Amino acid sequence: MKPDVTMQDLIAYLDRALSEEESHRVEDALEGDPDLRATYLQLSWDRLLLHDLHASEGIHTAPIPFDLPVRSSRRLLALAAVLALFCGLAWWWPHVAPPAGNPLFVHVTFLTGHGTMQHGGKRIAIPSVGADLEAGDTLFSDEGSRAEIRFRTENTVLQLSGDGELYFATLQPAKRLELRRGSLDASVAHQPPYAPLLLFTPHAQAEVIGTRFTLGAGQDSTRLRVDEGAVLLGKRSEASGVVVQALHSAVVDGRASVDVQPLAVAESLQQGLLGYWTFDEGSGVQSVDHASGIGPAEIYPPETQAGIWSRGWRGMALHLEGSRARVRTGIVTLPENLSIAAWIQLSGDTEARWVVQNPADRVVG
Amino acid sequence: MQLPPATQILAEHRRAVLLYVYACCRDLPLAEDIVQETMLIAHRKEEEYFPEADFTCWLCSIARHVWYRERKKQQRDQDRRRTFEEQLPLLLDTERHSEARFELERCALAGCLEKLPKLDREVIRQHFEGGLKYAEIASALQRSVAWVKVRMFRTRAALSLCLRQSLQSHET
Repeated sequence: MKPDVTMQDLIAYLDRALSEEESHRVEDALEGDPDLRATYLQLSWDRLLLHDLHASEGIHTAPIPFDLPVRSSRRLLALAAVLALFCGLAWWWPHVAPPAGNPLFVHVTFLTGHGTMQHGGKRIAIPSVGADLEAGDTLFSDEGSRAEIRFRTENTVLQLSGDGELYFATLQPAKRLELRRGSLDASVAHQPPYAPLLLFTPHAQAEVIGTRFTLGAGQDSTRLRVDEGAVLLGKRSEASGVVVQALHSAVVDGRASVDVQPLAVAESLQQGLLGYWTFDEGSGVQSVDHASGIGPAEIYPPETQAGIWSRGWRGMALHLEGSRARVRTGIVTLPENLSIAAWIQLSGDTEARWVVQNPADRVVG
Repeated sequence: MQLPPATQILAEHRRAVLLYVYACCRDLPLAEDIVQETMLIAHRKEEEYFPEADFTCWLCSIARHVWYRERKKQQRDQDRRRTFEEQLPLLLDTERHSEARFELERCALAGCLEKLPKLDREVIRQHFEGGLKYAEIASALQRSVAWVKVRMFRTRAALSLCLRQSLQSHET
């Protein structure tokens, strides 16, 4: 192994925790060193194992509690001393420093089109060089335009598009914004846990620690698409919410709960997806139709052990035994042209090799 | 009824190809998609395979092209890791990376994870289950990023050692 690239670097590289420059250094070392490549492959294999052990559905209703490690009394004393110093400074500072303005002001420029801002009760057109906004201001974007909002003290970038209206309620300590209409693409730098970025729409509220996502506020519903990280999303009228993980989308509308789906399903639904069953339940005699177009699939016959839940390639799977074992959906008339895809592993003697049967239409596939 | 030979061979090599693609892209969902596409192409081009050639290398060459195509889609630098990728198939060992071996190591690793101290287990869980980056773990645990980096290295090294010892005792 080259002395300048250690196993620690390789692990951080695999975990995507290195900067671009550091990653290039590791890649250069990998190109010229067969031993390092062998180590890297072994670490990749170990990482695949860890991934597999921790495979989850991607949605948690609540964070898993974790007790912070007990620190030594010396550390606690040091912490107490720092806190005392901080409190002293907090008391002393206002007496000697001039009153500061709002340091967390944001700058807005229009990438395309035009817009206005409401500041102190006045509606002002935003010039081509952009304008600074403060807490209490409202940004308006015209139809077909796109405004970029940058925070001066951190690398958070928001883009408001369409006929949009974004109100900056507070900017510190927590940033609290209200998307009244339009669509907001966001790339949010990591926020302190005690002061997350809070986004409100007429129907929903989202709590953001640091992530990349798109939030859209329509007349009757709010849609969220998370590309990286996670967003805590809930109804505006409720205190609780669900964590929407990366590559998932969620809708808040008149329904009782927040509807969270994998992005693939959400995008397929727009293209006419009828039914989607993941068989990840792991128990019971039904599997939920995530597309909601056909309804749950029932394991049949229910009185026998025909369907046994087992571990799948990803999440859970259904193991069907015997010639009568199957899953049945509700009665549905299939459209003339359709595609059906299924992940199936065959084992043992299998005479009938059809995957889908619709006796009503005499369809076997 | 046994699986058709071609399908069975593809399944036997699947894990090795996944490892190859994963080592290239470091993104498991993307790697799984590329392997799936690779298997489909291999199935369609079955007649083009010469028995003299190493089957894993043949699959990896298909996977490499699928990976290049994916990178092109993402408009990223393609030449950076070309040499690295082309040398990887030489390191692949089908038996070493078989499905059965993976399952055996997976079970052994699960046992090793149980033996970890609570804090180390939490760091691993937050990264692999919670999908948190190092900086996010550091913030959650009120530590520095450097601490997470070192902790991650020590924990993974301990897991690796424990795994090898478990497998060794299993074999003897």
